[in-house]
Amino acid sequence: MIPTDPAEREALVAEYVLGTIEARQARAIECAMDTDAALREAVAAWEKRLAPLSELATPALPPPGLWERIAAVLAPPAPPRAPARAAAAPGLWRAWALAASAAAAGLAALLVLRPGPEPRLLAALLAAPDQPAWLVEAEGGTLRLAALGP
Amino acid sequence: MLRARGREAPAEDPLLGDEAEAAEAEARLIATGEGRRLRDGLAALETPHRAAIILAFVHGLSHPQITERLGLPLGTVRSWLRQGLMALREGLG
Repeated sequence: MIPTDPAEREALVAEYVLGTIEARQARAIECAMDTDAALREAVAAWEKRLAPLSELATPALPPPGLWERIAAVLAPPAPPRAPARAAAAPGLWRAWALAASAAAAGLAALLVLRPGPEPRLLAALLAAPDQPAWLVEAEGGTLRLAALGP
Repeated sequence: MLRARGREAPAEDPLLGDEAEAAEAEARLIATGEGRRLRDGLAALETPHRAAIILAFVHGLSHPQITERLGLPLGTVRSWLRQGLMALREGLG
Protein backbone atom coordinates (compact mmCIF):
# COMPACT_ATOMS: atom_id res chain seq x y z
CA MET A 1 0.00 0.00 0.00
CA ILE A 2 3.02 2.30 0.58
CA PRO A 3 4.54 3.13 -2.81
CA THR A 4 8.12 2.05 -3.42
CA ASP A 5 8.90 4.79 -5.91
CA PRO A 6 10.91 7.37 -3.92
CA ALA A 7 9.10 10.40 -5.34
CA GLU A 8 5.66 8.87 -4.75
CA ARG A 9 6.66 7.86 -1.26
CA GLU A 10 7.93 11.31 -0.44
CA ALA A 11 4.74 12.93 -1.72
CA LEU A 12 2.58 10.53 0.25
CA VAL A 13 4.54 11.19 3.44
CA ALA A 14 4.33 14.94 2.89
CA GLU A 15 0.57 14.76 2.49
CA TYR A 16 0.31 12.46 5.50
CA VAL A 17 1.99 15.10 7.65
CA LEU A 18 -0.08 17.81 6.01
CA GLY A 19 -3.14 15.82 7.05
CA THR A 20 -4.80 15.53 3.66
CA ILE A 21 -4.63 11.82 2.90
CA GLU A 22 -7.46 9.42 3.59
CA ALA A 23 -7.69 7.82 6.99
CA ARG A 24 -7.14 4.39 5.45
CA GLN A 25 -3.87 5.49 3.86
CA ALA A 26 -2.82 7.25 7.05
CA ARG A 27 -3.32 4.02 9.00
CA ALA A 28 -1.25 2.14 6.41
CA ILE A 29 1.58 4.61 6.90
CA GLU A 30 1.35 4.35 10.66
CA CYS A 31 1.51 0.56 10.48
CA ALA A 32 4.42 0.63 8.04
CA MET A 33 6.33 3.03 10.28
CA ASP A 34 6.63 0.26 12.88
CA THR A 35 9.02 -1.63 10.67
CA ASP A 36 10.26 0.96 8.16
CA ALA A 37 12.89 3.23 9.68
CA ALA A 38 13.33 5.24 6.47
CA LEU A 39 9.62 5.98 6.47
CA ARG A 40 9.79 7.12 10.08
CA GLU A 41 12.65 9.45 9.21
CA ALA A 42 10.78 10.87 6.25
CA VAL A 43 7.73 11.55 8.43
CA ALA A 44 9.87 13.17 11.12
CA ALA A 45 11.59 15.36 8.51
CA TRP A 46 8.27 16.61 7.17
CA GLU A 47 6.94 17.23 10.66
CA LYS A 48 10.02 19.30 11.37
CA ARG A 49 9.64 21.24 8.13
CA LEU A 50 6.00 22.09 8.64
CA ALA A 51 5.88 22.43 12.43
CA PRO A 52 6.49 26.21 12.49
CA LEU A 53 3.30 26.66 10.47
CA SER A 54 1.19 25.64 13.43
CA GLU A 55 1.99 29.10 14.84
CA LEU A 56 -0.38 30.50 12.24
CA ALA A 57 -3.32 28.57 13.62
CA THR A 58 -5.57 30.72 15.74
CA PRO A 59 -5.67 29.38 19.25
CA ALA A 60 -9.18 28.15 19.90
CA LEU A 61 -10.74 28.62 23.31
CA PRO A 62 -13.23 26.02 24.48
CA PRO A 63 -16.80 27.32 24.45
CA PRO A 64 -18.03 28.76 27.76
CA GLY A 65 -19.68 26.24 30.03
CA LEU A 66 -17.89 23.27 28.48
CA TRP A 67 -16.42 22.11 31.75
CA GLU A 68 -19.76 22.28 33.51
CA ARG A 69 -21.31 20.18 30.75
CA ILE A 70 -18.56 17.59 31.01
CA ALA A 71 -18.90 17.52 34.80
CA ALA A 72 -22.66 17.13 34.44
CA VAL A 73 -22.19 14.12 32.18
CA LEU A 74 -19.70 12.55 34.56
CA ALA A 75 -21.93 12.97 37.59
CA PRO A 76 -25.55 13.10 36.41
CA PRO A 77 -27.25 14.30 39.60
CA ALA A 78 -24.80 17.17 40.04
CA PRO A 79 -26.31 19.80 42.27
CA PRO A 80 -26.57 23.26 40.67
CA ARG A 81 -23.58 25.38 41.54
CA ALA A 82 -23.23 29.07 42.10
CA PRO A 83 -20.95 30.60 39.44
CA ALA A 84 -18.37 31.54 42.07
CA ARG A 85 -18.06 27.92 43.10
CA ALA A 86 -17.96 26.73 39.55
CA ALA A 87 -14.60 28.43 39.14
CA ALA A 88 -13.20 26.20 41.86
CA ALA A 89 -14.70 23.08 40.32
CA PRO A 90 -11.66 21.90 38.36
CA GLY A 91 -9.59 22.00 41.55
CA LEU A 92 -12.23 20.07 43.43
CA TRP A 93 -12.46 17.53 40.67
CA ARG A 94 -8.72 17.12 40.64
CA ALA A 95 -8.62 16.59 44.38
CA TRP A 96 -11.50 14.18 44.16
CA ALA A 97 -9.82 12.29 41.33
CA LEU A 98 -6.56 12.07 43.26
CA ALA A 99 -8.32 10.83 46.36
CA ALA A 100 -10.30 8.29 44.35
CA SER A 101 -7.16 7.08 42.62
CA ALA A 102 -5.37 6.74 45.93
CA ALA A 103 -8.28 4.80 47.38
CA ALA A 104 -8.36 2.52 44.35
CA ALA A 105 -4.62 1.95 44.56
CA GLY A 106 -4.96 1.16 48.26
CA LEU A 107 -7.72 -1.36 47.62
CA ALA A 108 -5.71 -2.96 44.85
CA ALA A 109 -2.68 -3.24 47.13
CA LEU A 110 -4.85 -4.74 49.84
CA LEU A 111 -6.24 -7.34 47.46
CA VAL A 112 -2.79 -8.26 46.21
CA LEU A 113 -0.96 -8.24 49.52
CA ARG A 114 -3.57 -9.65 51.84
CA PRO A 115 -3.08 -13.34 52.59
CA GLY A 116 -5.82 -15.56 51.31
CA PRO A 117 -8.94 -15.38 53.41
CA GLU A 118 -9.22 -18.13 55.98
CA PRO A 119 -12.78 -19.16 56.48
CA ARG A 120 -13.44 -19.48 60.16
CA LEU A 121 -16.68 -21.13 61.13
CA LEU A 122 -18.20 -21.21 64.50
CA ALA A 123 -21.14 -23.24 65.74
CA ALA A 124 -22.61 -23.65 69.16
CA LEU A 125 -24.02 -26.99 70.16
CA LEU A 126 -26.89 -26.59 72.52
CA ALA A 127 -27.81 -28.94 75.31
CA ALA A 128 -31.08 -27.09 75.66
CA PRO A 129 -32.44 -24.08 73.76
CA ASP A 130 -30.98 -21.71 76.27
CA GLN A 131 -27.95 -23.76 77.23
CA PRO A 132 -24.93 -23.80 74.92
CA ALA A 133 -22.79 -26.83 75.70
CA TRP A 134 -20.02 -26.87 73.12
CA LEU A 135 -18.45 -24.40 70.83
CA VAL A 136 -17.20 -25.90 67.57
CA GLU A 137 -14.66 -23.91 65.63
CA ALA A 138 -13.52 -24.96 62.19
CA GLU A 139 -10.43 -23.28 60.81
CA GLY A 140 -7.87 -24.32 58.21
CA GLY A 141 -9.09 -27.89 58.03
CA THR A 142 -9.05 -28.47 61.77
CA LEU A 143 -11.84 -28.59 64.28
CA ARG A 144 -11.61 -27.33 67.81
CA LEU A 145 -14.11 -28.04 70.47
CA ALA A 146 -14.55 -26.01 73.60
CA ALA A 147 -16.76 -27.08 76.39
CA LEU A 148 -18.97 -24.28 77.53
CA GLY A 149 -20.85 -26.07 80.25
CA PRO A 150 -19.85 -26.18 83.85
CA MET B 1 2.13 19.09 16.95
CA LEU B 2 -0.87 21.32 17.30
CA ARG B 3 -3.07 21.69 14.28
CA ALA B 4 -6.46 23.20 13.81
CA ARG B 5 -7.64 20.02 12.18
CA GLY B 6 -11.26 19.75 11.26
CA ARG B 7 -12.22 23.23 12.21
CA GLU B 8 -15.42 24.12 10.44
CA ALA B 9 -15.01 27.85 10.26
CA PRO B 10 -11.71 28.90 8.77
CA ALA B 11 -10.71 32.53 8.66
CA GLU B 12 -12.55 34.91 6.40
CA ASP B 13 -9.82 35.60 3.88
CA PRO B 14 -10.41 33.19 0.99
CA LEU B 15 -6.79 33.38 -0.06
CA LEU B 16 -5.43 32.94 3.40
CA GLY B 17 -1.96 31.85 2.99
CA ASP B 18 -1.00 34.99 1.18
CA GLU B 19 -0.37 36.64 4.48
CA ALA B 20 -0.42 35.45 8.00
CA GLU B 21 -3.82 35.94 9.54
CA ALA B 22 -2.45 38.33 12.06
CA ALA B 23 0.80 40.12 12.50
CA GLU B 24 1.14 38.37 15.83
CA ALA B 25 0.90 34.96 14.25
CA GLU B 26 3.52 35.84 11.71
CA ALA B 27 5.75 37.18 14.44
CA ARG B 28 5.46 33.83 16.21
CA LEU B 29 6.21 32.04 12.95
CA ILE B 30 9.41 33.93 12.27
CA ALA B 31 10.54 33.87 15.88
CA THR B 32 12.68 30.84 15.09
CA GLY B 33 15.22 30.23 12.35
CA GLU B 34 13.22 27.27 11.12
CA GLY B 35 10.08 29.35 11.03
CA ARG B 36 11.79 32.07 9.01
CA ARG B 37 13.10 29.54 6.52
CA LEU B 38 9.67 28.01 6.19
CA ARG B 39 8.08 31.41 5.66
CA ASP B 40 10.63 32.23 2.96
CA GLY B 41 10.12 28.82 1.38
CA LEU B 42 6.38 29.37 1.30
CA ALA B 43 6.80 32.87 -0.04
CA ALA B 44 8.76 31.47 -2.96
CA LEU B 45 5.86 29.19 -3.95
CA GLU B 46 3.21 30.14 -6.42
CA THR B 47 0.19 31.58 -4.67
CA PRO B 48 -2.23 28.68 -5.24
CA HIS B 49 0.34 26.16 -4.04
CA ARG B 50 0.93 28.18 -0.92
CA ALA B 51 -2.78 28.70 -0.31
CA ALA B 52 -3.51 24.98 -0.62
CA ILE B 53 -0.77 24.04 1.82
CA ILE B 54 -1.82 26.60 4.39
CA LEU B 55 -5.50 25.74 4.09
CA ALA B 56 -4.64 22.11 4.67
CA PHE B 57 -2.13 22.47 7.47
CA VAL B 58 -3.13 25.57 9.37
CA HIS B 59 -6.87 25.38 8.85
CA GLY B 60 -7.13 21.62 8.82
CA LEU B 61 -9.16 21.49 5.63
CA SER B 62 -9.51 18.29 3.62
CA HIS B 63 -9.13 18.04 -0.17
CA PRO B 64 -12.88 18.47 -0.76
CA GLN B 65 -13.02 21.43 1.62
CA ILE B 66 -10.09 23.12 -0.13
CA THR B 67 -11.74 22.40 -3.45
CA GLU B 68 -14.89 24.10 -2.29
CA ARG B 69 -12.99 26.96 -0.74
CA LEU B 70 -10.90 27.76 -3.81
CA GLY B 71 -13.62 26.82 -6.31
CA LEU B 72 -11.37 24.47 -8.22
CA PRO B 73 -11.54 20.84 -9.31
CA LEU B 74 -10.36 18.20 -6.87
CA GLY B 75 -7.61 17.01 -9.21
CA THR B 76 -6.20 20.51 -9.44
CA VAL B 77 -6.11 20.92 -5.69
CA ARG B 78 -4.49 17.54 -5.31
CA SER B 79 -1.73 18.34 -7.76
CA TRP B 80 -1.19 21.84 -6.33
CA LEU B 81 -0.72 20.40 -2.90
CA ARG B 82 1.72 17.85 -4.16
CA GLN B 83 3.68 20.27 -6.34
CA GLY B 84 3.67 22.84 -3.58
CA LEU B 85 5.02 20.40 -1.03
CA MET B 86 7.76 19.16 -3.33
CA ALA B 87 8.74 22.71 -4.25
CA LEU B 88 8.78 23.61 -0.57
CA ARG B 89 11.13 20.73 0.14
CA GLU B 90 13.44 21.84 -2.65
CA GLY B 91 13.38 25.37 -1.30
CA LEU B 92 14.11 24.34 2.28
CA GLY B 93 16.88 22.00 1.21
